[in-house]
Amino acid sequence: MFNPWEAFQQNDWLSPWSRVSAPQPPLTPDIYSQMTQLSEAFRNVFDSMQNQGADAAAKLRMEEMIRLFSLQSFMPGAVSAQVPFATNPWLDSMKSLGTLQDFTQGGSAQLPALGISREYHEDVVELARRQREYASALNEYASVFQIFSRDASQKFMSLANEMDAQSDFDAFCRKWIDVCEAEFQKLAFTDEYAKTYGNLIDSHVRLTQQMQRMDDKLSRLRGQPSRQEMEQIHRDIQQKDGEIRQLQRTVAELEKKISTAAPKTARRTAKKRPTAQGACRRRTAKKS
Amino acid sequence: MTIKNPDQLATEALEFQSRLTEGVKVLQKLGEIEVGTTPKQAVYRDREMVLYRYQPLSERVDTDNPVLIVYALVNRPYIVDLHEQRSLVRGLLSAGLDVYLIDWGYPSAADRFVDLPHYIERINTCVDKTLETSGASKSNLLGICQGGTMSLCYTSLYGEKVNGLVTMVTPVDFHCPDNLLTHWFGNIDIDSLVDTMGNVPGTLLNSIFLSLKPFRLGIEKYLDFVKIIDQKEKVENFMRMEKWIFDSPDQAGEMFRTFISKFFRDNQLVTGELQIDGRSVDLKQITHPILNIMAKHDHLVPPAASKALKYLAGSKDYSEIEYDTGHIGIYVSGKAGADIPLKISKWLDERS
Repeated sequence: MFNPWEAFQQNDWLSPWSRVSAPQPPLTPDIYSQMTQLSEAFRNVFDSMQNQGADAAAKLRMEEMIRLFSLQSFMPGAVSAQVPFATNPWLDSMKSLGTLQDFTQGGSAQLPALGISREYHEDVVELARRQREYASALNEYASVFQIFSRDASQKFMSLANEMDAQSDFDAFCRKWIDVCEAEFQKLAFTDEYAKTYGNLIDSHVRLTQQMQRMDDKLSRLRGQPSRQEMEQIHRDIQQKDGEIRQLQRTVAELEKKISTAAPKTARRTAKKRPTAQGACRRRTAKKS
Repeated sequence: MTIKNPDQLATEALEFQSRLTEGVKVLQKLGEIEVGTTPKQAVYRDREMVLYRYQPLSERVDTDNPVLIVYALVNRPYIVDLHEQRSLVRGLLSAGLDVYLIDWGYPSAADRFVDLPHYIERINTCVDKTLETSGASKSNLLGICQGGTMSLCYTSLYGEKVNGLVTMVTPVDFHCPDNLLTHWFGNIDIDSLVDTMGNVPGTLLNSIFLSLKPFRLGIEKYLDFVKIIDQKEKVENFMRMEKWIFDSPDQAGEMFRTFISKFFRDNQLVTGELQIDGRSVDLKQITHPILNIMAKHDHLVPPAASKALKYLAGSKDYSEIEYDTGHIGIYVSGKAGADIPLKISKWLDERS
């Protein structure tokens, strides 16, 4: 007789994925690694259920299953869950900056900068300050999201206990998502969330600004045009572009005026200008 | 709540894993995903912008009544011609319409200072080229999303060149209470963002758009994907959408600043304060026929944001259609996708 538990255990689904996946996930966990994570969560849940024996598994309460599932998966409420959407390529781009804390915690960073490296020293201290500010904004966002994640999971568990028995795992996941999305929409419209999210983006921008400032100085030292200089060139191009378009419009209008005026002028001129035939007639008349 | 049938759960989990196993094979054989395959010709170019004219699909083409599609600057316009079976453009061509499309391209650093007046001027040039190519005296505009907002600005200023105006999922009133983007943008220092980033990265915008519905767009969608991962044709459709969603051009910095500050923050299209090159943009000037199409479950442009047009425009010939779908579904869902070209062509035909 077919035993889905055994089949589940024996199914070697991971090998083909391992063959095509990168040994190290990219900076942001990709969707394939998330699906793999979900599938592994399935396995762990069922391992636990199976270890308890068929009778125990049959009596397993939904909340226990959620707990087991939560331990492994990326779903909200999960212990191992990443903070969704704080992990994205744009926001994560600053994570590879490395830490400057050692420097700023050292004594010299607390003192006024002096000497030939004065400006550089100041720049690095400022960079470290902004990096801390960004890290703090990221943590603040993560905290808001974790609180939401916990509350949404609790809400789901309370609903799950009120629901009729459901053995469809798809419906189970879908309900989880429905609850989380509904709860998130409530959170997203609060001023607290908007401020936290705004602060996360703003602090990222301020950190980028300082990096640009330092890059610009380095560019000048290397004899390369800085970002500021390139921007000025682009601004000038845009201005000239606008002026050229304006001139083109003026030329087009003038051409139009000339072309509409030309036939009239030509007619007037044609009346006044003596033709060769007319001149000939006049000459003949004079002679006679 | 107890689980009545744990064996069924195991069976379901087994199916999930089996699909993943088969899915690897399908994904490995997938190859290049093609989009926007309806034949078209470039009739005008201005740096990265291209005006296309689609080749007719019917024997009779109504060149006296051309339709110019003005798409948004966010994302690429090939969503209107994603696949042979899911193509707004094909639907319009089959109805005998002469279809043109503005492809804004990918702005480069040199476009950092391109602003709203420049985009309106580009639309004006494209309308002129459309009229020149078709031989018509006026053009119809089909503005989509942000492209619809720009089409409204354009029609208010250059109405003499426009016959009829179709707007799809177009934001007009940016201050309706269910507009989450307005709520969020109000807390981001847009000036500092543009001054620092220059052009605003498409990746940043994508992350914001996905954050509007993180569980539907970030989790549920991929759980659904596993359900079809072993079916090549469905995977191809899914991949086309994925390609489009994440094919996000950077936004020209000044245009982004203007759009966020004047539209999202100050709602100037509603207050009547919007000025373009010293000219006032007054929606009351739009006395043209308007067909306003919206999506009931649109999370980016809530229907209320579009419906405001009815009261703001000067048109006495205003109709609206609301589809039971979302912002993306309006282009690609089976029902809306099949119905919209028919509705548009009939509406245009009655006003030609």
